[in-house]
Amino acid sequence: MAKQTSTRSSWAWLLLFAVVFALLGLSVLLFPEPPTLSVEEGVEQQDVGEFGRDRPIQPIPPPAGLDTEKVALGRRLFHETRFSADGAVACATCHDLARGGVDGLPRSRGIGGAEGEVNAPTVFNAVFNFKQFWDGRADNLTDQMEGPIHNPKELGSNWPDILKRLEPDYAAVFQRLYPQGLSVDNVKDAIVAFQQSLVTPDSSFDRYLRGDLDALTEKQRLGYSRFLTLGCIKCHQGVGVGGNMFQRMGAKNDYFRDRGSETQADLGRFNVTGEEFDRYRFKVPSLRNVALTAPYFHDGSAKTLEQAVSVMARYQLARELSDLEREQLVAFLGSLTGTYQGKPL
Amino acid sequence: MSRFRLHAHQYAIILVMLAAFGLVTFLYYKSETVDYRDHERFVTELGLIQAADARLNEYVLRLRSGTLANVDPLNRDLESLRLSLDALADSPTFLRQAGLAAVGKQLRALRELLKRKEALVERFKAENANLQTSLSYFPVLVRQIIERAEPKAGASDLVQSLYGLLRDVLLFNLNNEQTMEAELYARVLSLESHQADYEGLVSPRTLENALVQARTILKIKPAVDGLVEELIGLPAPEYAERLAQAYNRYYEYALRTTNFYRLWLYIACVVLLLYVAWLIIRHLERRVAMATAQVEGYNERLKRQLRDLQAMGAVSLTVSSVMDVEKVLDTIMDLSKEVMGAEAGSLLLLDDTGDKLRFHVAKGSAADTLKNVTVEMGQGMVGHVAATGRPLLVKDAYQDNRFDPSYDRLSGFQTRSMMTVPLRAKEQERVIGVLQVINKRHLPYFDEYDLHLFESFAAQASVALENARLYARTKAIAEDLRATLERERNLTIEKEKMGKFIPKDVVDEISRNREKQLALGGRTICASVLFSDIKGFTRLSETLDPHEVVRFLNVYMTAMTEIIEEEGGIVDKFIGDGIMAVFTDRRDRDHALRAARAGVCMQRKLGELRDQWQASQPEVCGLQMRVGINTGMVVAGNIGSQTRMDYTVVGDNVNVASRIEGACQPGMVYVSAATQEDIGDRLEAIRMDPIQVKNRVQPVHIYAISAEEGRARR
Repeated sequence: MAKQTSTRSSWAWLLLFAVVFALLGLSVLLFPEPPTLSVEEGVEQQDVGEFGRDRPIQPIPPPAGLDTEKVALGRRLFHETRFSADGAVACATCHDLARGGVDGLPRSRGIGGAEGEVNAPTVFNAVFNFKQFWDGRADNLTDQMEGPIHNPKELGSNWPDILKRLEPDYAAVFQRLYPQGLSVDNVKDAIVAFQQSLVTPDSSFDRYLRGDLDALTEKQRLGYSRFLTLGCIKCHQGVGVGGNMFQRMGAKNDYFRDRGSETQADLGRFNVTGEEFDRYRFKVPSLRNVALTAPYFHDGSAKTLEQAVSVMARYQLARELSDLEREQLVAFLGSLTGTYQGKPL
Repeated sequence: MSRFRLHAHQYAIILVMLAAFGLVTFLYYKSETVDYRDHERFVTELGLIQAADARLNEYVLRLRSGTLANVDPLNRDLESLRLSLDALADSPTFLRQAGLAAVGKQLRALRELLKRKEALVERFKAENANLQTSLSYFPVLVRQIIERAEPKAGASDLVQSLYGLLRDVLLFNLNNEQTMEAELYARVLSLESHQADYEGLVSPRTLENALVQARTILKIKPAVDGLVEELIGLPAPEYAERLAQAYNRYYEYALRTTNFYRLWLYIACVVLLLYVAWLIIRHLERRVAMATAQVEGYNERLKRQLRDLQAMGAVSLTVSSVMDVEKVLDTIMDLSKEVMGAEAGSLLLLDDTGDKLRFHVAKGSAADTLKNVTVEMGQGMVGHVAATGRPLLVKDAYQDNRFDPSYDRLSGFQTRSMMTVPLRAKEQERVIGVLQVINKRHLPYFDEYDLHLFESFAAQASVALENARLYARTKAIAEDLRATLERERNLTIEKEKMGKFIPKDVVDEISRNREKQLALGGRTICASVLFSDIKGFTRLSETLDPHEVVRFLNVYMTAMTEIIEEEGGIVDKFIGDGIMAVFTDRRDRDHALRAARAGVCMQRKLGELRDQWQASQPEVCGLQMRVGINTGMVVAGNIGSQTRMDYTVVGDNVNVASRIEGACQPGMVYVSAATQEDIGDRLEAIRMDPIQVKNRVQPVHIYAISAEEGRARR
């Protein structure tokens, strides 16, 4: 009897040890995994060469670390007219990628042909803007989207309606790409992903900045020189050649007095902050691809680049430009036209 | 089922265990509330804010001094500040409500401050750009105007004014002389008002542009300075520090709380472990104690069993080896007293009458006085046991009313405890006596175990008595049996002999009568009696080795007997080296012839034997045999004493045969005239001289039958 009991208990101990060691063996599954290569590490750091960071203008880094499927979805949504109340207007209606991301109109036309308040800025390189809209009322592209969607003169719509209209065709693809499926945040995310891909690297000037001195013509080089010495560079600078600060339209001379017929939109950032200081102040626009995005200024009043350059010189710098200077500047601005998906814009 | 039923204290242990585990779990949960990753994240983000803020100040100063080429770094820092603030807003929950409120308050203040800072930075960026363009262009333009105007007449005034203005504006830009501002404005206004006067010297537009630059500088430079001062002066580091302090206060509080719980967790764990260890140790101790007690019990029992076994062995040995019943009973009593540890012991046997018990054996101090004392059946303890046949174990005799203290008075013995068992005859349940021991030594009384052993002793005593009785009976039976067997053996021999010369019906009759112990009266029959004898054998046997004698006789007798039996004779007896044989009738009257033929063959056989012994035993090769035969009426019957009977033939003719043999020449066969007559001419016989025989008046005529001739005649 006693022997039987002791035999049984020794078996129990053996079993216990077996179980413990089996669990120890299973613990291998909990072995820490090695770190995966992050997106940042995957992207080759931008080589700015000898023209280091002290250069006022930085070349555009190529887009990287983007989910191509989400970008493709965003592209589809960008051209989707179901965003508008009347089903006629898409983002791409006013931001035509084939025309430099703009529609070429002084002021864009939204649903029912309604004319907008300001000139539509290009969507190319919008990702580099420190704030969105002329008056900078949105901090980022995600917030920016709310503007045109709800603006009665633009898409004149709302999210619930849009989601309802998107549901039939988009539910499946969203379900595939996003855990939560079709939702406001995910629609925005896809469009933002697409907009992040809308960069135009490899312009002649960027190549020049990277050390290819022959990328610019003589005239363009002289134009860049003028751009620096005239003081344009003080506001149009950084990666976007603009788009990184606010400035008063008419910093040295009163633009609106000379133009006349002042509108609410002309008050600029004042409409956002209500500060007297911000009256007539606008986000300095990016000059990337500027040769393609006529007409110019928030009111679309300048039809040509020459005109715009002259206005800028007169009101922002209080300078008179010679024709040669103007030509050189315009030639330089032409070198800022980059490529999209490997093709020149 | 009963194995799984728990005692109350086991329920209590389980309850305590559950409570302890609950407490440990609670303490563990409480001690793990501080999420160190969250803490790290918060501290890191706070550090990022402080770093970004410091960097922002640096960038502002560099932008002001013109050593920073673009404002992208500022935007990046502002973005980073926004993100970090958002991250901080998601504060660790372990700060709890009070902590979150305190941290949130500081965080809101910091957020407001940084919002203010961002607004100032935006202003600064714009104003600084505006100022920079004017500062770079104003000197250039003034120089252009002067260069163009100087050659012209009346330009000195303008040149003077512009130079002065340029110089003072640049000085104004370098210094912080607020007093110059109004005076410089006045000079700009004065120049503006004289614009028309200088039309020939400089285009109004160009002059105006120059004055715009001057005015811009005058207006914006103090604003930019003010912005820089305010920006740098913004107490963002202090706010961040205050936030950090608020956070740390509550973080440390959370840590203290955690440590408190952790301490108690450790204590609870240790206590729990100690308790469990104690339970295990106690359990093991109990088992060891149980096992030890068990082993000791076994040991004690084994010791006692060994002692008992030895005692029983001694008793058995005595019972089996010593047949004297008195000695056996004495030994049993001695051993009982010793093994039981008794002071006294006694054995009482029931009288033949069956109503009195007598002290048969008594041991102890009072033994002598009790010898042969009798006890009435049913009287006292022994009487009671004898009457009931049941053993009795009495712890205190004087408290028991069955006890008769008269024997104590008689013997002067002080009885305390006693043990009494009955003795039983083996086959029937009859009580034949009583065995008793008194006063356990060193202990107050006898126990059940003693009683059990004592009963075994009683059984042995019974066996001894029984054995003694049986032995006596067996001895008598064996004596009877021996006599019977002896008679039987003699009868068998006689029957065989009788069968030879008495008709079968006679033998059967004898056998029947033998049962009745009928002595045979004897019958008269006609027979031939042969006597043979070796000449000089007595002398020879004195010289020979006795073994040799016996061997020789055996060979000789065997050979002779064979020949006699071959001829249908019966060897009646051996007389030393002589042989007496009887030949009786069978179907025809030829016993005389067969006897004579046997004699001849015997002589011839001895001759052959002599030839064989020639080599091995030369001493006996000279031996010669005499053979005498007589035929006549003889008496056959059982002759002898009651115990030693012999069936044989007697009579005068038997004596005559013996005489003839005595007279015979060695190596010859002599027969009487009666025999010769019966043989007739079947064997050749030579008439010899007659011999005188005792009790016969007339001499007996004898004939010699030659062995060779006899054989030749056949």
